[in-house]
Amino acid sequence: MPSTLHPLTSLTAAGCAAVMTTAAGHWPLSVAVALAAALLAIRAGVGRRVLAAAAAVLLPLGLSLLMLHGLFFPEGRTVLAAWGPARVTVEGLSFALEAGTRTGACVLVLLLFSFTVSAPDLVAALAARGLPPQFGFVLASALTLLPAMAGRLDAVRAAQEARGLVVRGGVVSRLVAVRVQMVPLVLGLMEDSGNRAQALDARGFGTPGPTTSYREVQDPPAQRRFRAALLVLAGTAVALRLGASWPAPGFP
Amino acid sequence: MTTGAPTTTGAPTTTGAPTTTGAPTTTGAPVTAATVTTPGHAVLTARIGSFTFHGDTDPALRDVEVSVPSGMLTAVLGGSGSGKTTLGKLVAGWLRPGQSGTLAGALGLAGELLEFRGGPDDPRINPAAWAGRVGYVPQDAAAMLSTVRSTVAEEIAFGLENRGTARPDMVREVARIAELTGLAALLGRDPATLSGGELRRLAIACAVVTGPDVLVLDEPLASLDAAGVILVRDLVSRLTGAGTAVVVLSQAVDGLVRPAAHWLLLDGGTATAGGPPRELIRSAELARTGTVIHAVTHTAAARTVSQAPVIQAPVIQAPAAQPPVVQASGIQRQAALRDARQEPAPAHQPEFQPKPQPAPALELNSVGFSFPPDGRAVAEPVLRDLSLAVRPGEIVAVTGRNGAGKSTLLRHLNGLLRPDTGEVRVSGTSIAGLPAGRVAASVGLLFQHPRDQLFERTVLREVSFGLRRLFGKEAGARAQAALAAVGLSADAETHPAELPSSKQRLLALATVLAREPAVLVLDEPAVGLDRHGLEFLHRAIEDSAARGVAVVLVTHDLSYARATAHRVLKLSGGGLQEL
Amino acid sequence: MSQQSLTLPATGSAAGRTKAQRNRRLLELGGAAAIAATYLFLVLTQPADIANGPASFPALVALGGFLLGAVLLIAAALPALPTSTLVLMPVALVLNVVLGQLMGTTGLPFYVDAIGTVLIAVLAGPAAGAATGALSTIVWSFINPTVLPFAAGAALIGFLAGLAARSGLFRRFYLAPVAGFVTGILAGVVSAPIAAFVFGGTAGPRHRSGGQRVPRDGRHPARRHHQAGVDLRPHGQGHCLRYCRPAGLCAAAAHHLPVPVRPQVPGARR
Repeated sequence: MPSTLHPLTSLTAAGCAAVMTTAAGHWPLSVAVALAAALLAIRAGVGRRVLAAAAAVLLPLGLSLLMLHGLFFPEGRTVLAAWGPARVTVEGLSFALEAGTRTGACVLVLLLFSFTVSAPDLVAALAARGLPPQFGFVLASALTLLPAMAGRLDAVRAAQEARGLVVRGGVVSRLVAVRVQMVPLVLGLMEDSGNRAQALDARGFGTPGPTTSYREVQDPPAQRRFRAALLVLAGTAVALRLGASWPAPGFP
Repeated sequence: MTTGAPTTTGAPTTTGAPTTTGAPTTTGAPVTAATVTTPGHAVLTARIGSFTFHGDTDPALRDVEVSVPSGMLTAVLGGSGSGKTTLGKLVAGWLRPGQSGTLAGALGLAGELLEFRGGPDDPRINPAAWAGRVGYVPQDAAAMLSTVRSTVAEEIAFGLENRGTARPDMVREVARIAELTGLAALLGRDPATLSGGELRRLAIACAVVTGPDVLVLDEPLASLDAAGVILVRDLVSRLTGAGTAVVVLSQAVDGLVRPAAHWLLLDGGTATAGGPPRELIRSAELARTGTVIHAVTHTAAARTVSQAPVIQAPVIQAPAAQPPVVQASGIQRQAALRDARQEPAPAHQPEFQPKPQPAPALELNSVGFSFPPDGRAVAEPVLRDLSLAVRPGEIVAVTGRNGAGKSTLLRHLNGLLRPDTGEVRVSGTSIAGLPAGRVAASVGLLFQHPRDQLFERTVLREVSFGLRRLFGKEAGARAQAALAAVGLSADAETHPAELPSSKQRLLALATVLAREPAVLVLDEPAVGLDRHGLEFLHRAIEDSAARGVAVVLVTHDLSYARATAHRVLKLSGGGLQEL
Repeated sequence: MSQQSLTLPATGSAAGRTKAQRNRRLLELGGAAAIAATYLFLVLTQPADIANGPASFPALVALGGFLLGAVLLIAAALPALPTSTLVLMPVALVLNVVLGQLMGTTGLPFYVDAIGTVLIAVLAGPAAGAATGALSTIVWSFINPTVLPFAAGAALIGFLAGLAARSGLFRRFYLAPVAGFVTGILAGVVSAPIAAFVFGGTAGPRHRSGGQRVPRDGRHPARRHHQAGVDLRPHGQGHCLRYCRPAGLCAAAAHHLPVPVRPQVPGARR
């Protein structure tokens, strides 16, 4: 379900939340931000997708953090358990917790944005802010091509199975299958894009001079003020963090 | 008007430059197709001495001369690979001299004449300005779309946005064009969800929204069902009525090009004849081009510019509706799921095996299927209690409108889709549990888009792929035989992607034929084939049936179905009815 | 709609063009400078407040600097690209993702999530390659936000692959792995601080960098982090494996395009 916010408002909100969480570097805050993002996602009806995507990203990351810092953390003083070179220390675990929650909060907040934003509105809003139309083109085209290409890959696979291709378990067989599927996919894509370039040129894309937009995106003044406030807040948070860390911290 | 064939005089000097009176420099104002004044004067002229793509040695076009009169329909006819598309893209600014290839000749548009000598001093075409006056709609209508607009309305507006048209004008113009193209009810739809016919009309809308004087349509009727054909033909006559010159590139003489004011025949990249249809319809030049001549079927909606001679002349002789010989005599090999390695040569079949009623090669028993629901609504079943039996040697055609589930049905025949209820039996054996790649040993399925199937470096390697496992040492001979059967022997060393689309389709057919399946399943096999291609296809179907192969083909074209099959079935409401 | 000329000016108005070119050059330089300055800052200051918790400050610097650089590079390169290159870029992005996915399902240990970037770089040059790499990362981050900080590294891969193609390295099969190796090492160098400071010293998502964390050495944390930032060996190996192969594939693909496609594909004309 697309959000009713102006796309730049939700982008600013997500970006600022991520920056402020990073600047604070305080795990209870990170957890709170992550929870809030998850709740908002569920309320927006995209909870399942956001959480699934976040889990795919965060679980491997969290595991490797635990493995690395939970077991091998040279600065660890408080040893909970030790097996040879591997030592579980309180400091290591807290480091892993800190890094993991911070990344988790950022990931959830940004995923919430990307799963609720309406891509056409975002592109229209960016174009209205004077970004080159080429940027919007690449962004939007990739987002629409992605599902289309997945469908195309299925079509290639089906057409080739109908020719008697059977993918077996062996490495060689799989390599052959990948090559066999890639050739029509890539050639087809390049041929299409050649035609598309001619069509875009013919339709006046990229001609110098002003462009206009058919799609109108509402941007109420309240949201503009909200964005400005958020940017100021984030700037302050970064400045505070810089101020706290600037004189290069001495060695502990 | 249109002159072709500069065969008599070396340099054609007759028409050429648009000498016609006050070149219309009016246009201006955002878009009105009807700004051109007198109908019949040449708005676009092309004199092409030669056009050669960069990297090619032979010219793609040679000695072609076109002059397009306003408010009239001009047809460029030719078989696959005759250079129609290259010509269309060249006059529409999609292929630009200098950038895409080398042109020696001249292009004239709206009183301006550009001379090209193939050197660095040649004028450079401004594609946006040129295409604003000459619209082109490619055969693959989806290639026209920007892919970055999420509704039909925005897609139509794309060309206006890029030209900086003010929003109120844009809204008005989009509404007018949507009305003209019959898309008014679809303005809020996502272009990716449109049907083939709707997509074609959207592409035309995108091309005419800038108010071009000339509109070039590349195979505008390809793979449209009857309703779509009527809509597009109606649209074309409305555009010509409004003063737009329309050029149709086609490899078929169908109801759309019959009423054209002028025909230009292309063969092998050169113009062989030009003139009014009634002079050319029986000409030897037309016969040579490989153009398919359809019987006129849908004349209802099209308002015609000139009288169309109605000729009932289907090129292919129908096998008529005689029952297959096989069924009467029953001398068929029980080919089906037999292992080809053990019994490789059909020639060594026993002479005569009396069998009053041979078992069906393909059987569907009360098959039901619906796509898994995607969360929004309960999916309507696509196939419902569907039964079908096809005997060896029988040719069955399945028709139905676009979206009736024809392709879904075909995918059940070789196990790409599995029925929810019922079962599919090939030669008496259920295929449930067999992977699709295994079923392919006895069921050969030809898909609609040959490009998806081809992956090898040469045509011969393409056909030979996987044959060794089936036929052992005979693989080479079988590959050659399959290529010969579709007339591609001379192209054995060509890259498949370099073949014209008609030959790509034949190559895909050859890859299926070479495996000698017991059941041959063809999805819209005739689409995009020129006459030579149709003849090869026809012979391949006949020969297969004569060998005892059960053939199932799906087509939207009822007349083609009747001309080809012993039995015609209609798929609607998830079931099959005899027609 | 004003009546446009049907033809383009013969050479282009020199004054307008040079001004636009100068602006783009400035943006390019700005982008490269932002990336280089960020990197230098991170390596030279050797932030080491790790014992006090994850490195918030260097994380912010690394994020901000690299993202800014990538965005500037995109802004510089995009408007100058011809449409024929531009339409290939979404295809490259999708190839990065779809082929990455395809390889994932086969379970083969080849990383092809930069194949589209390298393809564009080979076909259309370093600027297009850099823009593709950076944009690819930005689009990808819609699904996986953790790749976002690696935008600068991806841009570098595209840029270097483009340079290698320009200088003819992909024409010789034995030179392609060398180009891949060098590209891989440099991309690893740029990406290492990201993995170290933004993600707390573990391997980046999708193996964007190899395991750069040096195992327990009992030495001073500062020195260890210095190594975490610049220890090149592991990335070098990982990256050269990843990039030399796609590079060779792309060079081969560019030569095997069928004739009708070639005029429309930049760089495939030979």
